Amino acid sequence: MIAWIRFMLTAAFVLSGIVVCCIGGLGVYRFKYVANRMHASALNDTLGIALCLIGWAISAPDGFTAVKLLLVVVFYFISGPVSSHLLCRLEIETNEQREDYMTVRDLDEEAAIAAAQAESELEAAQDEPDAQHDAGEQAGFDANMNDTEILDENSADEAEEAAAQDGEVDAP
Amino acid sequence: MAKAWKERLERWLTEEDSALERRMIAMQTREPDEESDEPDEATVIREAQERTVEQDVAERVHAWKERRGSKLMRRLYCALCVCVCVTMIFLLLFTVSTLPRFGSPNHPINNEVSARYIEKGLQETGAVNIVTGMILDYRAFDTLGESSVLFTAAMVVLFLLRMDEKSDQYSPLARVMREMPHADTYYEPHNDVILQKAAVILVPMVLLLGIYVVLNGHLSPGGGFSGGAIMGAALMLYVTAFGFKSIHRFFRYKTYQTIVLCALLTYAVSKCYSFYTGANGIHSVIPLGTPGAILSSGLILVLNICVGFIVTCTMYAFYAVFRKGEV
Amino acid sequence: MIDKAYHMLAAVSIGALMVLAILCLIRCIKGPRISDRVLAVNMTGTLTIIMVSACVVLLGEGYLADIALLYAMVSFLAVVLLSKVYMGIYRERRHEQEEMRRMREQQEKEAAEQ
Repeated sequence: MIAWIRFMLTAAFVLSGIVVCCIGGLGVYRFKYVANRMHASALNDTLGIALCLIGWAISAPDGFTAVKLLLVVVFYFISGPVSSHLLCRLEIETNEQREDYMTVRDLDEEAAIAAAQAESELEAAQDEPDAQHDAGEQAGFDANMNDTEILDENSADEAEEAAAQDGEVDAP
Repeated sequence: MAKAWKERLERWLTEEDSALERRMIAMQTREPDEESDEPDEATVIREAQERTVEQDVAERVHAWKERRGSKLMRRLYCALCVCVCVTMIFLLLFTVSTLPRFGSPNHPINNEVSARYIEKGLQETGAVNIVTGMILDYRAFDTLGESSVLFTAAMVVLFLLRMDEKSDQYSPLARVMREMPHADTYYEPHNDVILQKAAVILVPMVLLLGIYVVLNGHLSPGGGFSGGAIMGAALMLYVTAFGFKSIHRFFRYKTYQTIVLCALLTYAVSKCYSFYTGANGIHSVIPLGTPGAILSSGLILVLNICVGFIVTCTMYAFYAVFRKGEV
Repeated sequence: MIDKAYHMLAAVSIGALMVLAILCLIRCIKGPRISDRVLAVNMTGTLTIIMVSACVVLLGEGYLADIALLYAMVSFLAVVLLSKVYMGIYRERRHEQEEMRRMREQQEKEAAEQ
């Protein structure tokens, strides 16, 4: 009886996983552009493989094997987004007509503009000592002279991180 | 019928270039044209006087190759590819059809050698995995040769491709690259934060998987070669994410030499011991242990670890040399 | 009885995944851009892992799970390295072309000055 319940659970998980995989595979085959295809493939890389492997892990021969199968799912959850990111970067880098298909936000420039704005605001705040005091309290910093330095470092960090991400894609 | 096909084939082979090919050829041949247009008449005349017949012929052949030859070669290449593939498919299918049935008792693999391995393997080597028992005990000398071949191949690649820092041919790009943090190669994007965050989690996981495969070589499929390849892949991932400057903190050319030489020497010494005892009929002091336990099967575990080290370092060295020109 | 049921389930899932893998292969051959091809290869790896895990249960052999884990790792590494290498090649080629164009412009400028 328990064996049959296990089988039913496995079948339910695996079949729903296969349905998800079919949707993803058809998407990879039929969609028009890489970014769209990447969307379909991400479905397969996360939900499809998770459902299928959880299903097979339920009726695995022993516990250790089940843990290993679930480890594959964990691995995919970490590595799938990274490979999507790299593929997207490759596409943005190498496609010269990318404006026909997608709009690319240059987070590098945006961060630079934001940092410049913050700096100008800070300078404006420094001109009026009272206003600087208020701003310092609101931001939760101690209102001392290191204030500006801390803020500068933060914005520089943000700019660096944004530079690493390099671009964000809005596929049509 | 045959004539029509021949005509069609000839037309196909000598057909006019398609638009894309014309553009490619134009791109390839543009520069010499422009350069030949540039110089004034006196130099042209002088060059024409200096030019010999051989040069003329060579130039014509070159021009023909660029205009016609590449296309012809590509078409011929496609046709030959299809021919070779079809021939190979039929040859292999024919061979398979004459093989004895899988699992039949009078199959040639069912001889006294494999029977001996199956019957006495566990008792004599202590390894549950019979394949490891074979390659690291019965045929350990062979495996030593394989490891040495791998080592030699890596050495030859290093001889051929390694860039000497002091020579003139050491590229300036490589010199710049050495100092850049997180640089993999010069033109590629560096310092990809997303990849680095993933690598921080994944590299230890992959290394652990490799160590597991190496240490369980005598209990389950796997062993030194496969586990070493996995650990080498982990090192490659680390380099791709963090660059050569980071990996040089713990893995240099000297580390590579030390690890590989120590592993090969350990392998050779431990195998010498078992050859000596085996040949003279002396009882080996190394216990075989209970089959199935992790510390069992005598020297096989040590040999697996040695092979794993060699393969890891060699995989990484190949990658680094082909990528950058030095380990 | 239950063995037969497991066989049926594995046959159905592996058959469906095979069809999908062939679709991915077609995409890999057709794919107009290099990222299409890499994506299709990555997808084929995912489908293969699901097939291997079906074999784990079907054959009752635990060690095949190692192979699934390994395959996941290798396909990830392939995507990372291929995309980085192609980005590098593309940038290098573009850099060279720009260098050539600049040199040519400089030569033309010098010729015009003379």
